[in-house]
Amino acid sequence: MNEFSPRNYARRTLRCVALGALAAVCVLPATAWLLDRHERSVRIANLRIREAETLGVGRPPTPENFHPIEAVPRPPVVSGFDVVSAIDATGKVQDNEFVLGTEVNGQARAWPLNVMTGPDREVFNDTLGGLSIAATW
Amino acid sequence: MIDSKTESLWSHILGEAMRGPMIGTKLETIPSVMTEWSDWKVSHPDTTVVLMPRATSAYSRGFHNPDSGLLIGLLTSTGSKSWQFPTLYRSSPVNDTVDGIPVVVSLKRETFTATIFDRRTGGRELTFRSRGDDIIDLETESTWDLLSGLAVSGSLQGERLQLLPGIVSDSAVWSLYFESENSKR
Repeated sequence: MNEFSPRNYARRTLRCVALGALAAVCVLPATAWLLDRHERSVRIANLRIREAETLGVGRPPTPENFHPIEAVPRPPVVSGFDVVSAIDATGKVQDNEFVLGTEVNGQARAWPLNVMTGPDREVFNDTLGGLSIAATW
Repeated sequence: MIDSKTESLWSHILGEAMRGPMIGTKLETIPSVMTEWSDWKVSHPDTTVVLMPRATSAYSRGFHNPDSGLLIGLLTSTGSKSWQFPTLYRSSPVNDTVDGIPVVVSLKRETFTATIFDRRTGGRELTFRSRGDDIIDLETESTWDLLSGLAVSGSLQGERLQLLPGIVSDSAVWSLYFESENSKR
């Protein structure tokens, strides 16, 4: 059979298409991830520059110069979440996860930082030891 | 932060309303600790914990490390004071004074957990230093857990230091707010 036979041609085309598809599967998500990472770092750098511009360096915020960035226009109120004992959290909270922990009037509570993350999860309205508190970081 | 009742805008680092009907109002800062869950539940066995889907897994062991550029800071009546993690890593515990209050600042090396306690108890001022893996006070040689602030052995066993509202922060961000009044030991 000649190397330019229709069957060989079809096989070669099929191989090219398969390789192209494989490349797309591998390369496109990698590129998207890189672009996303780049975009995020640029965004953070811009936020820092804007913060530095509005606050100046080394000055606590005042009502006059307080212009925080609105990450989301109207973040939802975070409250009414599940709270369990340390024993009941076995397997649900990993030992090496960082938490924000506090104690009020003898009652202790922890909020995993991996939960307190994202523009709509910044402030946790809670009650502890008879006090109404907001946990944030 | 915005409160949904008055729509006032709050600074989360100062706990103070900056705009809206509540302007000038200050919330009380409740002292807290940022540490690994394993440490927290050992020092607070009766603790409860919030369960919600994770948004990330980034804040796990290694998040606090010598290169993370973190510090622990304290707001004072005149400004602030802060202690860099690398400094604490070398010389924890640090005996210091803030606003006339003697404090001990420590960093647990395994998990990079920083705390600030008032180092007065029972009317006396204590001075802390490390001895092997333990933290002791020079005055009574009692051994202390500087995550819970509890004396675990020695003549002061059962005594507890008062936790102060230290804030763990990125050094670069902290310096935007407080650098000019910052002092590092």
